[in-house]
Amino acid sequence: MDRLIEILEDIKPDVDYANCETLIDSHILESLDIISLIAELEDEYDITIPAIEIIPDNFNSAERMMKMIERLQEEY
Amino acid sequence: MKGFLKNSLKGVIFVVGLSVLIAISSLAIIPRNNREEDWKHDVQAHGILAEPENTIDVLFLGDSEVYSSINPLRIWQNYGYTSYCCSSSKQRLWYTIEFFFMTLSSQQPKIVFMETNNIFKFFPLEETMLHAADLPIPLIKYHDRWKNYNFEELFRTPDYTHIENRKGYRLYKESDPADVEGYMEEDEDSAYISLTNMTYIKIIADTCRENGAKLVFLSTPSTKNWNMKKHNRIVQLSEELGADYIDMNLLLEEVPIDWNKDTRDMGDHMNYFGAEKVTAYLGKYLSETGILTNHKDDPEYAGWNRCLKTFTDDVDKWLSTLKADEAG
Amino acid sequence: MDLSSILLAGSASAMTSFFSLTFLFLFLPACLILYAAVPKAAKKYILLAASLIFFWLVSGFLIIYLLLTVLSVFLFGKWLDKIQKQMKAELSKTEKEKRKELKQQYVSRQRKVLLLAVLLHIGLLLVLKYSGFFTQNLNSLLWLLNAPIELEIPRLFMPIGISFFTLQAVSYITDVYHGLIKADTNILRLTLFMSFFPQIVEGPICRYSQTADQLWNAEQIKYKNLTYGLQRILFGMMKKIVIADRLDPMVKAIFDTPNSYHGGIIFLGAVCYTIQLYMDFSGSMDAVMGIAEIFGIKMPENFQRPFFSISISEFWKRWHITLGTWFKDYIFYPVTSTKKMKNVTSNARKKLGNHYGPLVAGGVALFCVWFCNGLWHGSDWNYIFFGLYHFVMILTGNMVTPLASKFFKKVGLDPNCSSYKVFRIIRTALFVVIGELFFRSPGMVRGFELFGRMVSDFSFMGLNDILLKKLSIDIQDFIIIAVTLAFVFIVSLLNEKGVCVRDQIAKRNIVIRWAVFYALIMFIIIFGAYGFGYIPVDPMYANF
Repeated sequence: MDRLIEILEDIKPDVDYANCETLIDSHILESLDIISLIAELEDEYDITIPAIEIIPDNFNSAERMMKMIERLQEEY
Repeated sequence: MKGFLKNSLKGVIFVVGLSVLIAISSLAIIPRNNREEDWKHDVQAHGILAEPENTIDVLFLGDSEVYSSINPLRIWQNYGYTSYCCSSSKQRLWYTIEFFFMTLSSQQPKIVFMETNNIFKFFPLEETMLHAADLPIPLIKYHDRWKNYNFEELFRTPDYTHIENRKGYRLYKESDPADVEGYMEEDEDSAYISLTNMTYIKIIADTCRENGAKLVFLSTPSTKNWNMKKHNRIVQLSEELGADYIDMNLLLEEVPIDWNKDTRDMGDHMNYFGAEKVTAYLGKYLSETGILTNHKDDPEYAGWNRCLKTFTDDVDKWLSTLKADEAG
Repeated sequence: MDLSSILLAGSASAMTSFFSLTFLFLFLPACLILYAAVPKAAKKYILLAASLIFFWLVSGFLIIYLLLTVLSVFLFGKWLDKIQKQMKAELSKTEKEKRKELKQQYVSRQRKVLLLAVLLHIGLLLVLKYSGFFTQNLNSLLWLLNAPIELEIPRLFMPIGISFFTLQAVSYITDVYHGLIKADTNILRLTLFMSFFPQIVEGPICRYSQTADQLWNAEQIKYKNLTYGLQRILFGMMKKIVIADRLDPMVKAIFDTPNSYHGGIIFLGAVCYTIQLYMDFSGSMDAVMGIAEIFGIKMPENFQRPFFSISISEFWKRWHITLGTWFKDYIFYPVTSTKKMKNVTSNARKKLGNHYGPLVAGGVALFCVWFCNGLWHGSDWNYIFFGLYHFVMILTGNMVTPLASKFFKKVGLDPNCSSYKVFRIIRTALFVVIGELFFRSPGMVRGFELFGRMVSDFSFMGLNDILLKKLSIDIQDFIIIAVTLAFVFIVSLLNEKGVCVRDQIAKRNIVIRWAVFYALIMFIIIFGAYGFGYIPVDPMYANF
């Protein structure tokens, strides 16, 4: 989890990632940030994030992202 | 169930409240006079509102065919009958019926003529719906009057002062010959009248009957607008409704239109000369019905003679210059 | 014969507007009464029947195209479902090691089906909507090459709402492919999802998971929904009839003969057009949402007070939202998620850093999105330019952002201070207005002419004369537009601050609640631009 927040900080600093639950809905993470984030996550966690996973529900908070990552790790 | 009743009751009260509000606003906004600046449009037709009560015996309803071809002052001149053209450009039946009821509010016409051209003019349901509100909810029709509303009007009752000297007739001096190719060619078929238009006609016919007025369908001469299909349909219609029907397009001897001289726009409408012929026939027709009174010498109708005088003076002056031009 | 002649001939446009009397006082009440009267199990069929009748009234026999589209995606959905089921069955029988390979096979089979479905529907949309445009351009090209051929420009039928329901069809089939939703087993449910009458003309573009079940589970009308829905319809009606329609003659006059005006007046025309478009489209959306709300259906919002945006990129997240999301979900992310693009992003990030790295792949995807967005709006070069203009704006915005924040840090200014925010809001609105100038002009060349004049000859000379004499807009019109806009602005501002105006009204006592309703209704009746002297304006997005 700390590693994830580090990644997020690296992509877009000055956001309270630990607590914010509307990263997408409040337009904090924009589509280009998401592209960056996905590339980083795929490298870091050795997963593939298909386009359909890119929905607000999966990216609105750090916690939701972690859940998605764990799920994708299990699939392979 | 209890909640449903309560909410329904609320709804009813809401609608009643809204109706009151609309009724009050309607009273506030209806025009206080029939001048151009009050009505904004079709002032010639609205002139009938300023005629003294129960003085108009014959009413002509319809579109531009009517005001181009029927001259009430000539009928007055020759027979002493009072008539009025409640006609407007591109008048549709929703507007015709509005003029009809408007007239009935202050007049008791003995004969009502419906010109047949607009019977075949189609208009969408949307227009019907919008104009259905014109008479019961004047606010809808006159809402735009807020732009130059004068609050002094608020406590005044309507007082109609604008009298139309020509009683709705419009004088057209120009002429433009018509091509009569195919005009009134034989045809067995009959044209189609939309359901909406039928409804309007039936309402007018029923109201005429209730008010003891005779309904007559009238087709004025027009090469552009009239044909046998439409004629056939109106023949059926007049039989259905027990109304008279005059088709001047077939009365070649009684109404001898010279299509080179008597039309102002290639057969679409009559000009002055065509109107004289149409009006002459109508006057004769009216006198033959035997239900109209000659008011010529009635002092209450003195206004008509003044109007006639002004009109004939104007026309005679024009005709004499025309003759002079032709001669020289 | 009679029924169709009354409702159809010449009056088709009357029904496309939710603010037409025919719709508001005949069609909708009839639907509501029937809907409320039948038992729950039958309600969905009333909605379905109403939707099909509505489409028939608006488009006549072209309803066949809609029905064929539904049938086609239904069958494609079943096909995908069959493959998915087979795959599951096979997978459970296979040993773990071989599963991945087997899955790959099935996925590729599914992908082919999806590709076929998407190509078919997008292809038909392209043919129907753009073949005229393509032949026209081909003719110009042939003419340039001195070829002695001139192709006939085809005149194809265009079912109303085709641009909207085709996107819904594609999203349905794609979502089935991805396993986000199960293929519908009931073609009637799918038909209702595709054809629900409030949304068929101008959207919003819904996803199957958002509305299909809600619609099929049609519930009894609730009093609260009824009042909330009616209120929203009235609010939208005010936007459309009082503001948008009143601006229409002026906008039309300026854009019809732009040569006779100074640049300042053209600018004014573009501003008024932007206001008109926003009021017309968002007003219609309010009506759509309101109608759906009465039936107890919650649709995705299409607008979120876009003119409070501080950047073009944000603007498009708040304007025509469902279209933006569609492009993002079905074009932007799929393009950036391809293996190649992901590699590009990874490499670029190493070289260019976190901010500029993703711009390479993102830029390509953005280009696709905005090209399609422009084309979606219409088959003409000015629409394509409109799309690309926004592409450039957004890309530039993204590139400049880090420089701007560096600059602010150096100078010691706070980029979050409110005066800077207001400046950004106004700047964004200005960029939008320029975009709409091209959007509205007849063709791209004329757009540039207008833009050129606007910049080179920015003068309001003779404004008074023009307004009064040529455009027949008088001071009263302006006052009423200004007052109504101010009202809409206050409501938006409150919503923006997180105050739900409608809940606030609902909390008050009955006198205030009813006063709000009465005031709205009377305001619309008196100050609406309808009746004598006004030409009814069709909903502007119905043509897209």
